Amino acid sequence: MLLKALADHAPHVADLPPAHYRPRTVRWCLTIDTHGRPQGTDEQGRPVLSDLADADRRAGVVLNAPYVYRSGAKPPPTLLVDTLEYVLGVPKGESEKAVQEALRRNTAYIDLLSVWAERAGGDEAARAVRVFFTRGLHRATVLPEGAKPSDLVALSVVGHPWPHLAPAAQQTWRATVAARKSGRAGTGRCLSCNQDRPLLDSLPEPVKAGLIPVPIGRGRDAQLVSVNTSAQGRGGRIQLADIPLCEACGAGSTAVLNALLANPSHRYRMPDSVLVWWLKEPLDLGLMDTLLNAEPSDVAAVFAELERPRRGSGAAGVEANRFYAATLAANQSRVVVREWIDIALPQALERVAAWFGDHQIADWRGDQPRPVPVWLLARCLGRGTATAQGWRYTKDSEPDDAHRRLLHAALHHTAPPLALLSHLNQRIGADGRVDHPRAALLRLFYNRAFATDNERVPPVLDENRTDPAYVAGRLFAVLESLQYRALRDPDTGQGPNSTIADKVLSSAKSTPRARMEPLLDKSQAHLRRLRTSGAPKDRAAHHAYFRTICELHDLLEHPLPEVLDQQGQSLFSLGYYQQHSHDQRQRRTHANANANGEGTDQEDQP
Amino acid sequence: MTAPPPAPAPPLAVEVEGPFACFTRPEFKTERVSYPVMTPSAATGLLEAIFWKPEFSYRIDRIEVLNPIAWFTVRRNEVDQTVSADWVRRAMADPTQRFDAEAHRDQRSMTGLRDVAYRIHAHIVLRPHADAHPAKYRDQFRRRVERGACFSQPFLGTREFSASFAKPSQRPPIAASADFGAMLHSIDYSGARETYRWFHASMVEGVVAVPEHGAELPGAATVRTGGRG
Repeated sequence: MLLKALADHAPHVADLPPAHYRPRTVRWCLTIDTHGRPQGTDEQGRPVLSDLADADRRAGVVLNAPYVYRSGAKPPPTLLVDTLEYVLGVPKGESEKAVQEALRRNTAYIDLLSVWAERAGGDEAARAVRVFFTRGLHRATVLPEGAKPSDLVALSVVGHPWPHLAPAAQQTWRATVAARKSGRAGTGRCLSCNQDRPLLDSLPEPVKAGLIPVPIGRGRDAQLVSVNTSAQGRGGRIQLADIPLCEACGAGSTAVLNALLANPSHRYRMPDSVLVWWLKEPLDLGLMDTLLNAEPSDVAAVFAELERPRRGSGAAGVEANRFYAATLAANQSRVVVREWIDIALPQALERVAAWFGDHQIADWRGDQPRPVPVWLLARCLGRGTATAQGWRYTKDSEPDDAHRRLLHAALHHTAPPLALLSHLNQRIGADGRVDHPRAALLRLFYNRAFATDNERVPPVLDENRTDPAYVAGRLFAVLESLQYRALRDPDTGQGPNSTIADKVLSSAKSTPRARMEPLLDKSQAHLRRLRTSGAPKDRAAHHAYFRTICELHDLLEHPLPEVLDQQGQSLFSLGYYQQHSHDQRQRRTHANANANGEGTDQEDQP
Repeated sequence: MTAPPPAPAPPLAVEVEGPFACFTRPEFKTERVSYPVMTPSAATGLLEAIFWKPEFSYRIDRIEVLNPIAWFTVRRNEVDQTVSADWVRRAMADPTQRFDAEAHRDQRSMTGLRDVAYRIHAHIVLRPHADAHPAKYRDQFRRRVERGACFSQPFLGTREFSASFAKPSQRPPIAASADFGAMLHSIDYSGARETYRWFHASMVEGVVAVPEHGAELPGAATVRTGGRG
């Protein structure tokens, strides 16, 4: 399941740190030569730490360094790279207890160095480090100003690469962690990989703080598998006593998860959770990028992959490949698996393709339906403001779970929850605005939640559709366009500052008859104004508007609906948006025709 | 002329369904994540809630998944301690002793299943001391299912997700196949300590076939113990 899929992915993760290593920010460096003598000294010959921080990296440099989750009254050291308290015995306070604890930690650190030096045999760097600490030179080291006992310090030997990354150090550290973390469990069959291996008492490595969003502030390290109290384990037993997990599955899965969560190409952070995904056999196919960014080239690649004949070795690879995705949240220091998806890659491709097929819609500017990225579909559920650069949605004003719910609907090929639809309809009413992302989301809701095959809303205007709500929406768009056209300034071409949509869209889409019948009455005045203006273009427009209004009335078998529910309001807004975008396309077509000298009257369109 | 082999005993079958279920995976038992389908051990517990006798035990043959697999998540308030015998003794001696749930609050998440329906196929296996024909128990079981009788309310993985049960119908299993990895097969309570048995579970066209025996983990008797040890 999740743990095995993560552990199996390790060979495909580029730059995965060695076992039980993780990228850590190291502030200080203690450099010695091959004879164990300090490289930097002060006037009195005492060793001096060099500062790895600079203007670009104020906290130090990031190195793959040994790491293990440590706790308890006497936390053990890590190999070579550790805090100043361990490496130099710098106490956290001035109390006797703090001094004794620093001394204990420093002694344990040096003991671990000795184990490493013995395992490294004749390695020059290991011998030099051992000589330095055996002579006690570390106790004389001068602390730089501002150094804290919790700062990390690494050791460096002149002419050698970082000693903590050498093979002997990796082997020593792995054996040390294995001894610490699997001392009691012994050997057994791992539940995850079904192999007989040494089992873990607890997971050596947590998920790094900050990689999983938490609602308030910065999170802390979180364990993927955690049994800490008697009520959590079987029969009151804690840790992994009843969960046989080997080191490869336990430690490997967390290491891979950390790497995937740190990679923007494999995760999508949401306000309350994070989605992480990967393929069993990685392919050059941005499946999730397609969903999240909706770049036309990515979308085309997904459709091309889906339609490619499944023949040959490459196609067999796609058939056998699997798509994995996990939605993770954190509860204090425990990881919460909110969702786990394990499906064949072709099935994932089908779902992504269906997502675009269900939501993309033609907008005002183009002739072809345009997809919308998931982030924007979620964002349009929030507030927005008109700025000098256009309409902008306010980040984090959407419901916290909007991103997660929409991704769930995309990856499971289901309808998003109707709570989001009522939220969307409320925002459309409050803002008096249906734009491309909102229309696309409405189309998605309608096609997935309400429509049968022959009732689906197409991506462009359906001129024959007779749903009263849809026709009412179209009629409202025509009345708005007529008002704007009739009341516009003949010199500037600008219409009124606020239209009927600004004023009554919210109530018109919920109670069309009560709101639109007065508007229909007023439209007679607007039509008369066009008819009597004396300008030929206005008279042509009058004919076009009058004809369109009559055609829409003909589509209605009954009077306008009195009340519309969420489904009806969605259709109303879709009709409204698609009528406007259709009219815009028509105007553009006629303008192009006129520019090419084909002579069609541009104003003979509403 | 050789005698024909004995006919296999007719299996028992019962359909169970419920709005929620959680068959917790062992590796995610704190922030619970369910297996996608019912485990054989949960099916055994469910059958025993309907009808149980010391003379026999159930052996699950297969589990048919009748509803598409759907999930839900919920976070609940729980406590972080279990009741110990020592605490009960102290409470009995001191009537003022109280368990303060607020002081031991532990919020835990559950990713469970919703709208589940399964058809469980099982056999009755007589224990050595049984002296009746297994048909007697099968008939008793069927009569209880027909009239909806049960010893305790059957549940789907956890006690708060109660199940309803009925005679098997002709509903077809879902057309889906999947590999679930290691799954709990059964728990052996016969010794001083619990022993767990596992099998590699996979669903083929909506049917999870259950082997007769699960595999014990090496060292299970000494290392993997439950609360009775």
